[in-house]
Amino acid sequence: MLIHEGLSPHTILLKESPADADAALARMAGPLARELGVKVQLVRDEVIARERVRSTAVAAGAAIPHCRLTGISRFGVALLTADPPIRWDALGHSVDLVLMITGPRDAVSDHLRILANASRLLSSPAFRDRLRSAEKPEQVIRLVRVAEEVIEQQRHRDGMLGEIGGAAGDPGELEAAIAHLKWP
Amino acid sequence: MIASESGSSPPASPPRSDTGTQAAGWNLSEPARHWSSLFLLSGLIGVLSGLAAVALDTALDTGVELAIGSLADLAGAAVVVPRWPVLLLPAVGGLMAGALVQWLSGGETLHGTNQVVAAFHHQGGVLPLRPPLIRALAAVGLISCGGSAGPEGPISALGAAIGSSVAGRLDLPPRLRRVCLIAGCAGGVGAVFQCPLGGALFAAGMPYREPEFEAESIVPAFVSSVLSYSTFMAFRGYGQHLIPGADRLAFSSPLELGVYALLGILCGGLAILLGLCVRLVESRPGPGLGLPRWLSAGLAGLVVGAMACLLPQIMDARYLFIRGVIGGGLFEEPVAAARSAWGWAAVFGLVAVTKCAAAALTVGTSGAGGLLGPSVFIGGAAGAALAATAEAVLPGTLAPDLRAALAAVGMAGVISASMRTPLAAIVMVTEMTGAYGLIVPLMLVSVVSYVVGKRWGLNDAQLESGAESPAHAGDALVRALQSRRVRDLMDTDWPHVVSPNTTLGEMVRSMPSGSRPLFIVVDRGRMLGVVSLTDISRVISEPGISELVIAGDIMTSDHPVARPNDRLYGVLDKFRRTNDNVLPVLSDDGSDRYIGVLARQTIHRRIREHLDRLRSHVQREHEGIVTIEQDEQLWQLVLGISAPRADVVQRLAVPAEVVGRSIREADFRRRYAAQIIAVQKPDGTLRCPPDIDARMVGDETLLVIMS
Repeated sequence: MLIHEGLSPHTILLKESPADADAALARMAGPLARELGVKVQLVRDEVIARERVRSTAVAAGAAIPHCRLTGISRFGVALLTADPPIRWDALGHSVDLVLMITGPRDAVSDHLRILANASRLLSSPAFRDRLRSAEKPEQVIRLVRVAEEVIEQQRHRDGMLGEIGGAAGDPGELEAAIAHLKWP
Repeated sequence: MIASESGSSPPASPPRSDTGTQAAGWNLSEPARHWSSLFLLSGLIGVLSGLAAVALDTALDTGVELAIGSLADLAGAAVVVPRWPVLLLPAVGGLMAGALVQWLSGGETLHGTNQVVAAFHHQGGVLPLRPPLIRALAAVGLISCGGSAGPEGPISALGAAIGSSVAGRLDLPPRLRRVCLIAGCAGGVGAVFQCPLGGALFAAGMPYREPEFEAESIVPAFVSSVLSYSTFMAFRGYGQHLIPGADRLAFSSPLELGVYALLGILCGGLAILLGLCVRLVESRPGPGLGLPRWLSAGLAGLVVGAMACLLPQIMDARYLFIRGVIGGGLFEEPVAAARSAWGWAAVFGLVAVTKCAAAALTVGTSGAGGLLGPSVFIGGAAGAALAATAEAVLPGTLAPDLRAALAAVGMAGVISASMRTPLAAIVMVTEMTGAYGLIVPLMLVSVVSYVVGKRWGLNDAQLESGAESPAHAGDALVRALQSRRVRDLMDTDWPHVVSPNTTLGEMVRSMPSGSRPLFIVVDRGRMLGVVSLTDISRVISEPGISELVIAGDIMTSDHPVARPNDRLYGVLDKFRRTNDNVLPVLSDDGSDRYIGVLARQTIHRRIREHLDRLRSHVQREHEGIVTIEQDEQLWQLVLGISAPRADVVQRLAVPAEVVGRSIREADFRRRYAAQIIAVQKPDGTLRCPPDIDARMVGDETLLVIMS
């Protein structure tokens, strides 16, 4: 399971201006819940509860709120770009890129893999910059798909040794792929 | 330990509880739970077997009365009564039964009790319901048409299949499924022969050629047989023995022992004859002509019909003839009164011998019907033949009661040898006849006959003793595992206990190099789930992931758990369902309170210690085996392979990128810095060493040594 497979044009919210983190999460929960066919409140409550336990702000203005849900059979992903950036947590993180991930309760391995992809994508400055400049949901989906293909190719090449030995893929490849990407 | 207490946690469902038997406030001890479950299960099997026996027995009564019973006098002494219907009807029965068996029951060739024995030893106690049911129905039709077979074997097999199916529904392991199989068989025999104790002993002893019992199955067999007998009698009526008139008979003089010894030899001889006839027929399917089963059964029926025109008694599967001999005053009938003692001897002798051939032809070709009933019949006829012969040679020597007693005791003689169950035969005939005064001759005849004829017993699937049975492979090990409980081996100081908001980074930093521990996620003493390193190791190198993910995000809450009072034998099955090297141990009170872990390594070490002790006992008790030990072969035979260094051996799922490729193609050792020492198949079997050219499959588990 990959991030771009869980994204939908309806769950991509660009240039939004939520008041705070809870408002952003509530805004994203609506379309995501409709995509998954579950109650909005379920998604919103679970993801906010998880956020309360520990902030999911990662780096350079990005956050990856996530949760596992009972009663769904596939992953759902929503993305929100905030303008202006919002104060995310008590630690003082300021965030303008929010990637929300929800997955089935029993799909632990896939959940971890999709979080790993999200983490690697949002750690890339080039990826973050392109995301901020996206005007249409289709652009976002294409960007994520291209970037994930690079990550998966690196994984396939490095195999388990890379995973066990702590060698993440070369970030240069990802930067280059994003640089060559043309918006649809 | 990183942390075990936390003030907050992400939502989680509780871990799977394995305390289904602690419902509704009942808090039974483990042995009480075990025995109460077994009693309930055996009772259910007994009731179902009893109902099946009632249905088939009633159908048989009706069928016999309407068909062959209306055409021939099966209870009388008349011989040479040729009639077209009697000639042809068994052929019709044979055609019908052969067709049913051939097309609907899968063409299985083993007769009733032999099927049960084969299922016990070689099929893990699995006996599907459909074939025995079809064969039992075919037997009803066959016997109703005059086929020379018994319904008891098929009914016992049906009871066994019921037991096996109930166990299958409950997904019980092979050991308990075998117990249920035996319990069901006991129910069938106990009901149809109206001998609850004998049925239980018969079923528990039937798997072996030597007088040995399935100890673990005895109690369930008793319970099942009692319930089955009670159910059967509730429908069929209490108050009379299966073969009445023998309860007045008694052993009264040591001089009788000589006659009984002769009877034992005669019964053994007839058991041999029956065995030879059956093997002759079964070794030549379609009388050597390659005929389909239905046709060969039809032709055999024609031959049996011809025999029945001379001796109609051979069609009797309801013991009418034997009842007449023992308690019905057969000798006083007008047609009989005119016959000389030698004439009687000839009739009884011919009936016994012809029944051997007729039963072998009927059962051997049709695959329906059983040989347990014919064994009883042949034994009764043999006893009567001996009595008549003695009367002819030395008129007036044998009292009338002794003549009847010989017929009763003879029944046990042939069962004893043909089924190789001497003790059960004694008890069965005692209960069938109520002849408790004949215990001494029953013992003598059964033992003599068993010794003479056991080699030619009818159940080829029987094994010499438990030592040869797959059912008892590893008994010593199983007992050792059953005698130890989780609390004896659990580790209450497992260092990898974390709170739900422990980060992935914290978990990874706490891992000793080269190890892949299972993290137990605990909140306020309650276990919420576990985190497996198989998942973590694949992503830990990703930037930012170590602080993004916490234990609560990736824990699984349906991991198998153990309880301190669980026996190790049962717990091993839980290990089989997980790749992890430890099982969390939760409190015995049924709550989710975490108290420790049970490690595979600890169990391995304890098993090795036990086997070491066992080996030293073997050396002391059996000096000859020391010669094997000197070659270090015994130890390898017991263990298969020497124990791996468990501290560095890891279990891994096959990496997605090498699924479908061989170990050689994947260049596994160089690529992953790990050497595969064995491949575990989905069914649990190990390939060690692995075939480096075999393609790896996604659901296999790799046992690797990490460099």
